[in-house]
Amino acid sequence: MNKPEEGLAPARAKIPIERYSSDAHFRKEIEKLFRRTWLNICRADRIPEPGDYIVQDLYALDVSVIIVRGTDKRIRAFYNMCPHRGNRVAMDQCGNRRGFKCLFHGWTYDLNGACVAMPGEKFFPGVERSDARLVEIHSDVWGGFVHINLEENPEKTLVEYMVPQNGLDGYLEQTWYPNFHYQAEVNCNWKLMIDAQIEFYHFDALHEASLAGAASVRDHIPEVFPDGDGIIGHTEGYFSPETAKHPPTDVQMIAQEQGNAVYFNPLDEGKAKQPINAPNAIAMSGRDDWIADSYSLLPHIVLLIQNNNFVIQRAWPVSVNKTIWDLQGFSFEPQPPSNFGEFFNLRMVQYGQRDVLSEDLSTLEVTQRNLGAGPIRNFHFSEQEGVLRQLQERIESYLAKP
Amino acid sequence: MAEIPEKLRPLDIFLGEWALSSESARLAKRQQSTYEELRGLHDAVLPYLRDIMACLNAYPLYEIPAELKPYGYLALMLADIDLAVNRWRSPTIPHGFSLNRVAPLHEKPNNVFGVKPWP
Repeated sequence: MNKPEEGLAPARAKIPIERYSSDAHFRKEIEKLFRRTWLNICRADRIPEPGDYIVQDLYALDVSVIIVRGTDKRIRAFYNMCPHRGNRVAMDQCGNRRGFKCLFHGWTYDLNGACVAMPGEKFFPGVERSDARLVEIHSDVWGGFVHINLEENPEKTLVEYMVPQNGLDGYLEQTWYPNFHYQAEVNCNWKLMIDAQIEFYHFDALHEASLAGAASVRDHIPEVFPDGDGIIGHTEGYFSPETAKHPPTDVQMIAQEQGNAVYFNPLDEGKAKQPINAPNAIAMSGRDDWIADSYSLLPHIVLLIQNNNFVIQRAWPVSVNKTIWDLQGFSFEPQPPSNFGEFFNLRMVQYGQRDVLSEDLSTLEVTQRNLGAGPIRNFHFSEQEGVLRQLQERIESYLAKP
Repeated sequence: MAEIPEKLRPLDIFLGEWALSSESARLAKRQQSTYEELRGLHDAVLPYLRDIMACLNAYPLYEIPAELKPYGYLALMLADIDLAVNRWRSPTIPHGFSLNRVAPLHEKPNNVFGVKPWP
C-alpha cells in the first residue's frame, strides 16, 4: 500500500475544536461544501421502473429532493417544491407515480418535471406552463448510488469528483440486497459522527466488551488521498486471533454455517471471501486475516465493508450540534435470502451492527457538550487517525474557495 | 398443517413469552428483561438452534408454515440477545446510545430502502 503521508506532522495533527462547535463555521460548511459537492442519496436500483421515486430531506440545506425514474428510464432529481407557492409535490417518502400533483392548488407535473395541469390557467396571464416546471437538480450515478449536486453548474462531473478511481465504484455498483435501515437524531456535530467511524484505533477501548482486539490496531496504517477529491481515504482492519479478546459466540458460529455474511469475525475455514474484486480499493494488502475496510467519502459518507456485506452511514447535518444518523446495510449473496438460515445469518450481522454502533454513538453527545469547556482548544489526530486528518484538510480546502 | 418435529417440542414452553415476530418487540422484550432471564433463555434454546434451522430450512423463506414460524421467532430472539448475553452481560449496552432512540425504518411496509420483511 502506498502511504502518501510521511510521519506525524504536529501542526497538521492539531484540529481546532471550534470547527465542531462554531455556528459560523457550520454555515460555511453547508454553503461551501454541502451545496457544492455531490451528495450520495440512494441506490439507483431502488427505483427500477418509470415512476418509481424516493424523497430525501437534506435537513440543514432546507431542501427536499425527489429522485424519480422517468418514462425514458432516466433518473432525474427535482426540488420537491411547487413553483406556484412552494408546497411539496411529493408527500410520501417513496412509491410509484405517473406524475406529481401539488395538493395545495392542484398544479401537476409529469415524471420529467413538465407542468401538465395548472387549474385556472386563464387567471395566470403571463405565466406559461413551460415556465412552471419542477426545478431539476444535477444527478448522476456512481457505484450504483444516485448522487445530486445543488450547484447550478457543478465544478466537476460526478466521475471527475470521485477520485482517486481505484475500483471502489465497480465493487459498489454490483447488485446489493437491501438488508436493514436505521435512523437516529443525535445531538452532535456531523463531523464527530464521521470521525467515530473512520478509524479502528478506538476498538480496544470503546468496544472493550464487544470487539476488542478484533481489528488489530498495531499494524494497519490508513491510506489517504491528498490529491483526491470525493474519496478521502480508508483503513483496513485485520482479525488477530492472538489479540482478539472475544472468540465468536455460539450463535455467531451457527449463523456463519447458515450464510455468507460475517460481522467482525474470522471466516470459517474454506469459505471464500467474496465479492472482493477491487484489489486496489478493498483488502488491498491481500492478507488472509482481512476483516474490514472503512472508507470516508466527502462530505458525509462512511462505508464499512466486510465479507459479503457493507453498510453506508450518512451523517446529515441539521444544525451545528444536531445530526441525523442514517445507516443502511447491504448484503451480497444470496439475494434475496432463500431460507430461514440465510435470513438468520443476515439478522446476526444486522443486530451486531445495531448493538455495537450503540457503543460508537455513545461518545458523541457528551463530547459535543464538552466542546465549549474552554481550556482544550484542539483535538489531536494520530497517524492511525490519518483519514480524519485528511477529511479535515479536504473540508478546509472547500471552505477556502471563493 | 405442517407437523411440528418432536425435537422442537421442548421449546414450546418458551414460545408464548419469547417468540415475538418483530425486531421492535424482541428488542423491547430484551430491554425489559434481566440478564439472568436472558441468559436462561439463551442457554435453554441454544442446544436446539441448529434443529430449528434444519426444520425451517426445509421450506422456502416465505412459505414456512404458520405453526413453525414461532420457532423462527425464538431463534431470532436468540440473535437479538446474543451480544447482550455473551458480551455485555446486560440487557442494555452499558453507557451505550439508547437503542430506543434508533428507529428501525426497515420495519415499515413499503419502506424507503426497499427492505422486504419476514414474515
